[in-house]
This record gives sequence, C-alpha cells and structure tokens, in this order.
Amino acid sequence: MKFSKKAQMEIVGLVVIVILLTLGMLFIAKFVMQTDSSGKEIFTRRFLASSTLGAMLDTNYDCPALDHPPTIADLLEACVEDPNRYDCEFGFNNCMNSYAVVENLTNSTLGDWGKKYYFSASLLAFGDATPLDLFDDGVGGDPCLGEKDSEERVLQTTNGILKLHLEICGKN
Amino acid sequence: MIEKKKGQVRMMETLAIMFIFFILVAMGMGTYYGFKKSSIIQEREDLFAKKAIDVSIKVSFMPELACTRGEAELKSNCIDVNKLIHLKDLMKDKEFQDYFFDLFSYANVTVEQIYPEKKEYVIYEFPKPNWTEVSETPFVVVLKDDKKTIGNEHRFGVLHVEVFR
Repeated sequence: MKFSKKAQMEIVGLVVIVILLTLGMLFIAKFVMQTDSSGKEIFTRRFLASSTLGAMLDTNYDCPALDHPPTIADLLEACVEDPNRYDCEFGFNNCMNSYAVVENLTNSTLGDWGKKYYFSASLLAFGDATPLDLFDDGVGGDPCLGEKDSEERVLQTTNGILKLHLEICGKN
Repeated sequence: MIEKKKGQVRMMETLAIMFIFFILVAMGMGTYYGFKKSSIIQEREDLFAKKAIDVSIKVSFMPELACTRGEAELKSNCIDVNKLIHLKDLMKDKEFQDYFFDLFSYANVTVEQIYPEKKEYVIYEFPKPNWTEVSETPFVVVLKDDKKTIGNEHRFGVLHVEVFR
C-alpha cells in the first residue's frame, strides 16, 4: 500500500512535468508561428487605403475634349445619373471610363507595389434595399479574406447613395 | 548493505530530478532570451520604418508643398505643383539644404506624377554615405496645379520617401 502511494505520487509528478512541457511547447509555437503585420505595415496599409481613395476621387480624368475635365468622383456620379454626361472617348460611356481609370490608377500604384487590393462601387438606390454593384467583379481581384485595412467614401447622387470601398489586404 | 544501496538509488533519483529541473530552467531562460532578442530586433526595425513614415508626414504637411484653400485648413494628401517646382529651385541654395537636412536628415524625397502623364520631381536627395539599409514609404497624393485654367488641375501621383542607415 505504501509503495503504491509512492508510485502514484511519482506518476502525478510526471504528469505535471508533461503538462509544463506541453504548455512550454504551445507557448513557443505561438510565438514562432505568429505572422502578425508590423506596426509599419499596418500604418502604411491604413494610410495607403485612405490616401489612394481620396487622391483618386480628386484627380481629373484625362479628357482633352473638355476645358474642365471631370474628376473621377464626377465620372462615378455620372455613371449612376447619366452615363453619357461627359463625352471624352468615342464609344465609351462614363461607367467604362471610370472603371478603366480606377483600374489604371490602382494597378500602377498598389498593384505595382505588390499589394493585393479590392475596389468596389455600389449604389444604394432610394427605396431599394439591395445595393447594385457598378463594376461586376470589383477592381483588383477578390475581396481580402484575412487581415485588411479599408477606406470608404460616400457620394450623394440623384439616384441614391454611391458607396466607394477600397481595401488593401494584409500578408495572409 | 541493502540500506546503503537504497540510499544510493535515492541519491541518484534526487540528482536526476535536479538535472531535469535545471535543464527545464535553462530551456526556459533560452527561450526567453530568444524572444527578447527578436523583439529588440523587431523594435529596431520598427523605429527605422517609423523614421520613413515621420519624414513622409512632415513632407505632406510642409507649408512649402501642401495645398492651401484660402484660410481653411490644409488639404490632406495634396501637393501644390507650383510650390513643388519652386522648392526644387530653392533646394539649390545651401541655406535651404541645411534647413531641410535638419528636418529630414539622410533621405531621398521624390514626387512622381503617374496620371495623366508620367513625370518625376526630385525635391530632396541626401543619401547617407556608405548606407547599409534603406526603408521606403510610398504615399499616394494628388498634385494640384492652380495656374492651369484649362485641362487637368488635379493629377494623380506618389510621394516616395527613402531613409537610410
């Protein structure tokens, strides 16, 4: 009986050691496997999302036919209200113009820097609960699945509210 | 004799337990040291990266470059093209070079116009001699040309800031 008790205590000791070792391993694995972005990456992503969207909307569309070319925000508004408002390129309406320029600007900055991004424009028409996507598959690929930072702008149009959304994906 | 052997076994047992205990302590200390070292390296990297961000923020809010709107606050992420051209000329002056060196230290600051046509304005170029590492932070900006009455007043560009160590 005395020996059995001693053996039990030794087993308890062994179990404690095994538990401690397991906890230690888990602790190490947690630190080794974590892929969180650094402070710089998070800040850069946040700042890039807001500055890219802001700068893009303020930029004038290259339309030599007009003395005062519309901004890209104007083009997007026109796409919702009257797609032929600005006559810039023969055979292209303002929705096509805005898609092409957004794709060009985001691709020559975020795309060239190796960032994964996704831009979408959706119209929430008055009295309609379902938003309507202006660009079928968005711009830049698919929406981010994991870590991301995003920026949104809203434009008031006569047909409803146009929500512009740009997200920049993290590493994972 | 049996008692002596039993005592030796116990002693061995105690020694083995102490050995395992010290191995566990050493492993713990090693792991802690490893984490501490990597966190110090990470902090050093973060500080270096922060320097590039600091310079970018300084540049984008510099009255010598930022777009103004009368008495209203500065327009964010906007660089005045006319100020930019003027600043490039000012940079040739030694006095201004010293002033900006106090602000940016060893760095390169370039504004690149991407749309409608490509153009590049190098506003500050002071790389550190024998630098070993460079950190770059690009920020997207709008370039405003007040003097342009016809055509694109606002263009799309990028502010590139490189810092060295």
